[in-house]
Amino acid sequence: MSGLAALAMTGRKVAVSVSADSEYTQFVAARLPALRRLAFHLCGDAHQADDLVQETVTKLYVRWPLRAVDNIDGYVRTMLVRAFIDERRRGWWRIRLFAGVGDEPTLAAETTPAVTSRVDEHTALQSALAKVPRRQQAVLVLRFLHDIPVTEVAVILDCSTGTVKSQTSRGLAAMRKLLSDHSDTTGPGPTTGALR
Amino acid sequence: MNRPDTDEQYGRNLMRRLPDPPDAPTRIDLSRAITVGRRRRRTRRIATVTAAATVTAMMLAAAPAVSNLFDRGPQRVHITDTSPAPQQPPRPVPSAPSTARPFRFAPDADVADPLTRPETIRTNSDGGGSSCRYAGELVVTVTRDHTYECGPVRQTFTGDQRISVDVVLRTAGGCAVVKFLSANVGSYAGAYGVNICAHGYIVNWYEGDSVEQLGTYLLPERTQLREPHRVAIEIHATTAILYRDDREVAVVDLGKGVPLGGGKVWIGGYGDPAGGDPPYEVALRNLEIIG
Repeated sequence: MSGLAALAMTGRKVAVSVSADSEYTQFVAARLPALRRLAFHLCGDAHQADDLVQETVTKLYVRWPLRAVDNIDGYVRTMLVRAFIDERRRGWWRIRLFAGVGDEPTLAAETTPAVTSRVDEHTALQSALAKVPRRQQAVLVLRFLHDIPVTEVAVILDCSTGTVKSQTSRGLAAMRKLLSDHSDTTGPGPTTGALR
Repeated sequence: MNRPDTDEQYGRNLMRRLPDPPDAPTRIDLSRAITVGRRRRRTRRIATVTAAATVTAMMLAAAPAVSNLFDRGPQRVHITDTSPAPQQPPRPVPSAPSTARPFRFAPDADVADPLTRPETIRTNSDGGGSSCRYAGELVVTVTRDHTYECGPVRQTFTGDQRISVDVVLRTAGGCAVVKFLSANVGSYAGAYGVNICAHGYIVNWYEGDSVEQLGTYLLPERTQLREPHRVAIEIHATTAILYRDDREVAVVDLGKGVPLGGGKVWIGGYGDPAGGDPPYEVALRNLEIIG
């Protein structure tokens, strides 16, 4: 059953009875796009992102209903980020690491120089981010792409705000170096700056 | 004026260039999340109840042991000792596997096969009477004093892993065999194996045609024929812990090394002439491997 079909099916159940399951389904269905986006930014791969979200929403169901949690959105986001960082906990991440590579929808049909340049830039950026330690990746994505304040990032990562700032600084330094190395290897491109 | 970016500005400018996910249909399946989540809830409940019962039983069992300390002093139990295991304080005996109800596999198991049909393990025979066949369970027949392998599972398992299977010894001298970390890469060429026999577990190292016995671990009481027991092998780094019905039998050092790329798992049977005459027969059910 596809995810959308499953959603449609569970969506009908919501109308029939207001149960914990239907509350869960409603809640998750509404947050799926945001969760997928965050997971994709962390993983850099749509399949891995879906696996990460699937694992997170499964864990969420185990704990549902979350009566004692005030900010459920923050709670789920924390679960997702921690699952991403703590890949040692289970083998699923490694097992599916290479699944589906190559069948990703691409921009192959558009081959204008601008599109090629954009794809190159995305690839270089994702590749550099993937080389940064996972906690630093998470800090960069949460702070600069998802605009989450330092205090909240500290809660998500279970560390102090000072650690978040130092991880940010180290992460950015690593990104600068990696992108600069990439630029040196590939030569000058059509744009300037850290990304070629 | 051209000023260098602050970290904040640089971070924002940089990260905002990351693409958003493609509009491809999602593979996220909420009904599957609910099904798997329900299974995990049940497992957690069972684990909680079991842990509470174990703690209570251990506290009850510890009381006489503490009073004995003053009379006898500390006692050490050597796991590689081949003499009968010393008398243990009473402990809760976990229920042996039942054939009446379906086995509940862990939701995260990489291999979860009831071993009722040739899905993971194929049938085979050597023409001399030894065979692996299905008769409601995987029946391994061994016609002489040797190890007979039914076949490996498809996957290779690296790092920590747990292999468990229900074993029924059908004839005297019949032992089940579980081999693990079987690989032939670089300087590592071999496999560890555990013979699960009535009197205890024998851990071997297989390399080419040679078999080196690494240790014998006697059970507190002999396994009765046709009595099902759940046998588990847990590998943590370079240590294997052997269990029978959730009770720890031995901790074994994997002194021959561990292959970096992991290894295969095999199951089969072994004929022990000291235990009885051939043919030897064992039955296996509910193979579960969590990698």
